Amino acid sequence: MHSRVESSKPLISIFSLRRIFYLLAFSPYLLLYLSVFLGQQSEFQNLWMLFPCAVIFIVIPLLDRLIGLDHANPDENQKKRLNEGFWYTMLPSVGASSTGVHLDLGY
Amino acid sequence: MLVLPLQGFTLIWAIEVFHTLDLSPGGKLAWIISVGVVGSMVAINSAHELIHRRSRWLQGTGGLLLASMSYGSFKTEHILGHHQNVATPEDASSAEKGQSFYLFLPQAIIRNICCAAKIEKERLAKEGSGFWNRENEFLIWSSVSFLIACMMTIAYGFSGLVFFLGQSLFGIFLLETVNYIEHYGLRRKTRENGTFESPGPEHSWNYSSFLTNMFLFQLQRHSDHHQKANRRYQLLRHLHEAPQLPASYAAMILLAWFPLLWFKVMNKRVEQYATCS
Repeated sequence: MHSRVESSKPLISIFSLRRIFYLLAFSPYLLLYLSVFLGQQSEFQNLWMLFPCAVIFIVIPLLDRLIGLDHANPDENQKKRLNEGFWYTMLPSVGASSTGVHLDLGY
Repeated sequence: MLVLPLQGFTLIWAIEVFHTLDLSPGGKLAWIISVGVVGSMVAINSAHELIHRRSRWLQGTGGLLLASMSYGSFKTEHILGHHQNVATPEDASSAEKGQSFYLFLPQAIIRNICCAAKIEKERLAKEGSGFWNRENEFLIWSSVSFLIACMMTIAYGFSGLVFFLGQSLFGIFLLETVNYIEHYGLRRKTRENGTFESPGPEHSWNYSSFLTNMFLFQLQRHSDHHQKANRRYQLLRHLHEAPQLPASYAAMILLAWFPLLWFKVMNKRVEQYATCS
């Protein structure tokens, strides 16, 4: 009985997932580097200069549709944990979540 | 924040690419647009988070990031103008229902700059100082942008200046598109004494998609951001009763650039939320 309760507990909480995925906020810079690299390998270098815009305005909205919504809000305990440490302020200078791993997409 | 050295390095590298790669005029324009769009998405978005913090160091970092996009005035106007006057005709960044993005854009930029200068002038006057003062944030961040423009011109000639101003222009263009989306058609009611009701969840558009909110530090949970401006991004809440967009910002930005389509999709929703509230 006890183990069934344990197995229904999510593996990664949405807050632990977000903690890592906030690193994506800096990834658009990589698109610029990638567009120059890919442009140099291709005959259509001028067209590749628009690669970051194509990802931002076409790929990301499509992925948004695929991945879906995240309506989860932190409760009081989670709020305390989310306020701890420098991770959220000094992103990305600290390691991964120390709050445990369970999977609960919250929607 | 690591974003400041990243933005600085990327800007220098990007102008080097602009100067050295054998691109056609169309390719050069595409590069300027891409650098501006990425700068807006990362630097301006991070700056928005930082200027709401209490630490002066973080606020200053936000100011520098905005200056790298030639929009330092946003720091003052956003905090002391937009957050006070949101969803009223007094706010440069709140679009009226039926106002196209192309009518909104020039007045939003001009009013943002003028409001920032006015706010700083009034603040310094209260402290007994004049406008031309080293405490004037409007002048500080404008000077930083001017300095970057001069350095780019000295290092790369006229093309350096074109690149810096061009990427700034497209970055600001994208920022103001987001501003247009965030409060389009939502208006605070006027009380009997002539003042506006307090801003509530019903005065901003939201969309809680997981991915875009990771890219934008939960910016799409915009109603909660306006409920408490210095609430840190990781604590922002999804408010079910708040107006919801039909798609995430990137798709809505594309829609905003086509006014007839935008009106067709959004005006119905504005009316629906106006009736509910």
